[in-house]
This record gives sequence, C-alpha cells and structure tokens, in this order.
Amino acid sequence: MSIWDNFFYTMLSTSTPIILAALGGIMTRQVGMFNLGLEGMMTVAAFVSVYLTSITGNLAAGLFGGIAATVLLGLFMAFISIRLKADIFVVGIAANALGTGLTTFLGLLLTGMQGTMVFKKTPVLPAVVIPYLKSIPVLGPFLSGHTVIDYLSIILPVVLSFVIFRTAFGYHARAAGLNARVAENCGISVVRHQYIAYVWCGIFCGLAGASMSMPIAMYAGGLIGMTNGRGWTAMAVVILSAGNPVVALLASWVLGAISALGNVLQTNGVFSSRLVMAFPFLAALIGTAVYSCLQKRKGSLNI
Amino acid sequence: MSRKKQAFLQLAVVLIGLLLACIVIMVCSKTPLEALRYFLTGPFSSVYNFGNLLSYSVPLIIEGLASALVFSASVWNLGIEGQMFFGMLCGTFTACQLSQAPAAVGIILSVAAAFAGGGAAAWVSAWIDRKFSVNIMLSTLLISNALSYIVMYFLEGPFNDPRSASGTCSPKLSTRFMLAKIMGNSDLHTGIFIALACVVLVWWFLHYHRKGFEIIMTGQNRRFAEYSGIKVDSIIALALFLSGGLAGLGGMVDILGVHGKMRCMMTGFGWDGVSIAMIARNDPLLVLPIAFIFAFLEKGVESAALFSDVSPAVAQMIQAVILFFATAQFLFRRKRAAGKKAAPEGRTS
Repeated sequence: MSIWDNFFYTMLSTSTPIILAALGGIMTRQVGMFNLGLEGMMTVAAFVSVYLTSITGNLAAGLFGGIAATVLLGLFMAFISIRLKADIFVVGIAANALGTGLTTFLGLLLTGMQGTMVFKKTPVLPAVVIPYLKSIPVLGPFLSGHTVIDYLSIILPVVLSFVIFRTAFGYHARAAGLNARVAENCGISVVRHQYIAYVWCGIFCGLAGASMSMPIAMYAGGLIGMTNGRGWTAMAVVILSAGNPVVALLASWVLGAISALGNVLQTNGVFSSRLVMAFPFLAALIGTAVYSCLQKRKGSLNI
Repeated sequence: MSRKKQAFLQLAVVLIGLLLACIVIMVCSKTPLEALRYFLTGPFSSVYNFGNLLSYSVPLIIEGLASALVFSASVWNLGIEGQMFFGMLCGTFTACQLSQAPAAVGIILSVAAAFAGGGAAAWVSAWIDRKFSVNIMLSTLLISNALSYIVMYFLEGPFNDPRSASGTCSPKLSTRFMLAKIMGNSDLHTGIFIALACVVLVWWFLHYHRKGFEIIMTGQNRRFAEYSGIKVDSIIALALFLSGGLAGLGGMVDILGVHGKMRCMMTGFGWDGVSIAMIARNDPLLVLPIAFIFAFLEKGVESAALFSDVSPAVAQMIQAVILFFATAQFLFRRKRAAGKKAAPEGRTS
C-alpha cells in the first residue's frame, strides 16, 4: 500500500517540471518559434532561485528572482533570434550550453562549490497540507502534501488553454504563429507577440526550475545535472500535445507515472536505477510515435 | 558574400569571444595579469602542454565534423553526445573481447565497431521517421539521452572494472592497442592524423562526391532535391549514419589515444561538436581552426585555474557566448536584411 501511495505522490511531483517547461514551450510554439532552450532556461532558474533563497533567506525572493533571471534569458534569446535573425534552433542550443556554463561558473564564483551544491541553512519550499483533501480516504495521501508549484502546475495548463483558445491575445498569438505575414497584414504585431511569448516561456521555465531545486535546497551542476534531461522530455511533450496545454498535462502525468513506476521497480530490485532513468525518454519517443501514427497525416509534425 | 569572407568573419567573431574570455578572466581574478598570462601562454609554454592541447582538440575536430556533415543536409541530429557514448561502448567492448588479437586487427575492428555503433544509433532515427513520422531532431535527442543511461548501466554493471581506483570505468584495453604517442611525454597521439584525415575526407565527400552533393542539395531545398530525383529519405539516413559513425569514431580515438579505458562520465565533446559545427557554418575546413580554438579555451582556462584563482568553468561559458554571437547574423547581413523588410517568418509547424 505504502508503495502505491508513494507511486502517485512521485508521479505528481516528477511531472511538475515537465509540465511547466512544456507550457513554456507551447507558448513559444504558438507564435511560431520552436524553443530548444527549455533545458538551459530551467537550469538557470534552478540555480538562481535556490541561490537567492540561500542568501536572502526568503522563499519568495528566491522564487521571483529565479523567474526574473529566466525571463531575462528568454528576452535575450528572443532578441537574438528576432532582431538579430539568428537561427532559432541555434539560439536554443546556445541557451542550453549557456545554462550549464553560466551556472557552473556562477556556482563556483559565488558559493565556491562545484558539482552538487548543497545549500545549508536555507529554507525549503514547504509542502502544503490541504485539510479537506487530506481526509479523502484513498486519494488523500497523494493529493495533499505537495508544494505550491506542484499545485500551480495542475491549474496553469487549464488557465493557459483558456488564454490560448478563448482570448483575443491567444487568437492573435496563434495567428502570428500560423502565418506571420497574414497576421502582420491584419494589424497584429507579430514581433510583440513573440516577445510576450518568450516572457511567458521564461516565467514557466522559471517555475519549472524552482520546482526542482527549491524543495530540496540543492543544485546539481554538470552536464546531466539538475534537469536530468527533463527539458528535452518537455520538448517531446510540446510536440506531442500539438500546442494544447491540457493534453500536455495528461502526457506529463503519463511520463511522471512511468518515472514513478521505474522507482517502484528499482526499489524492488527488478531494474537497475540507470535503466530506469532511460524509461521516460523511451516512453516519450513511443508516445510521439503512437501519436503521429494516430494522426495519420505524414508531415504534419514537421517543426 | 564570398565563402572566404564568410569564413574570415566567423573566425573574427571567435577571436572576439577569446578577447571576451580575457576580460572575464581579468575581472574574476585578484591577480589579473598573472591569470591572463597563464591563460594565453599556458597551453604553449612547453612541449608537454602544447601536445595536450593538440590531443584535446582531436575529439573536438571529429565531433565537429560529425555535426557539420549532418547539418549540411539540414537534418538536426542533436544526439551526437549519446551516439558518441554508445559508439565508445561498442568499440571498447570489441577491443576487450579481442585482447589476444594482433594490434592492427584490434585497433581497426574496435574503431569500426565504434563507427557502426554510433552510426546505427543515429540511423535508427531516420528509420523511425520513415515508419512512424517522428521528427528526427526529437528522436535523436530522446534516443541519445536514453542510450546514455543504458551505456552507464553497462559501465556500472556488466562491463565494469571492479579493480578500478579512479572512478567507475570499463576494463582497461590491452596496451598494444594504444595509439603511439608522438610528442614527448604529452598525450598527443597518432589519432591527430586520423582527425586531419577525417577533415579532408568529409570536405572531399561533401564537395566532390555524388552522395555528398546530394546531401548538400537535400539540405538546401529538400523538396527541390526530391523533384530532381534524389532519394531524400535514403540520403537523410546516410547523413545520419555517417554523422553518428563519426561521433563514435571521435570518442573511440580519444580512448585509444589517451585514456585506454572508457570512463562512466559524459564528456560533453558531442555538444561541443554541435557548437563548433554551427560556428563553422558546416564548413569542414573551418571546423579545424574552431575546434582548435575551443581546445585552446579549455586548456588555457585550465592552466589559468591551476596557477591562479580563475574558475575553470569560464571556458564553458565563453564557448556558449561565442556560439550565441557567431550565429547571429547581424554583423554580416545588415544590408540584405534591410532590403526585404517583411514580417519575420519563424519555423512553424
């Protein structure tokens, strides 16, 4: 029983960074910019938020500082790819490289630590116990006791899908993404929507990064590092969901469930931990393949 | 713009990046001049250091070529890192199985295994694209990430050297398989000739071979290439296979030349190769100097970190900054961009 409690709990909390980063990716995708830099943006957010928390001792300062840093990075990427006309893929890859490089550099410079940095005497993002939910017999134990960001990650996709599909801003942004020239002729400022999308992408990736480092007051640097490839999984979710935030939420839950299943198998000694870590990537691949086959429209997934 | 001028400008941007590195190092250090001196002269200060610099650039050159080749076809193979890792495992495993074989046979077969392993890992993506229409960029990435963990599993479990004192790694290769050292007591090995040969081969292949021409044509306009009778699917599969193969080869040459065993650690050479190819704008001949400068950055910062108080992470950061600016076209395309001021066209679905 306890293993299954744990299973659902892990499922929800491991899918948080994936869903949030995927929302950021969806936002930029809707305006026609495919952002490859999710991984780098999450890395920067993870480091900055936990570092600011540790020096100010204030969780809110850390969270918003991390988001601000990621938004800045997002705007910088947008500037380079829109104004300076760099290739959008290259900018994304450069952002990932910058994410690893910058956080390692700053980590060593500011904290003197390298590799896995453990911030001592730092407040951690607390788990919220929701009284009502807690008392529900079966669902209670795993619905309650997550962090604020975890709960946000369930609400935000719904909000975002309303914004994208039901508001004027959403229509304009999608028009800009579908055909920039036509949108421009209809009086929609494509460039402005692209910048706004990058700001939102920064906010979402900032939350995603904070959700990884802040609950444990730790930052893992290096090439695999904190994100553990979840930025890439999020990209798979972006493609798979075809820009629909709610589908992205469900897909992230499936990926989270697979990670959690891996954890269960690992504790039972069925699989080695390394093999388990390969699961989500293969699952994302299979998911995308199945999805494309269902679509039956070859070429519709070219990005 | 002529190709020569373009190449010159790319190199200029990289040199500006180096200048930026100097500034960062001087700002970060309490003894700026000392640190700068070690950064600039460290790698050239002795035969030993210079040899190490050259040997460090060997895998960078080959990984850069691996990326340049596949990007020429406008195929986004972002799994170079994992393909390299997997190729290295295949090669090391082969070499360990063949430990009794003659040196030449062992070297050739293990390098071939690395090439085949890396190539297969990349080719799978082309196959998946054809069968299930999964975007190649995505599948190379996901497969490479998954493969990295699977390779780590093998290095920690079935293919582990329990006697190793320096971290998790594979069993040691037979010393007979090691490539000969050619510069004093430094790490520089005959693998550098393999790297140089690869540069010439890839350049020749892309510009003077029919398949290479078809790769470039596919890269410039896939639909037009298809109309003119090129089998685009198989050209993409070929480009992927060759690039994955080169990736595996680069990793294997590094093992045969320097380490003598495979360590359970991501080297980052694959991603460096992606950056190098992008800065070189997929020109194999330009890959050579840019890979060398990347190696210089790494080794220079290393020497500055060793003898003064500079953080070794400066190199990584500067490489990313160079990549950012080298690919922004603002420096070169001002006039042309002003000519056609249409709405910006993003990459859409």
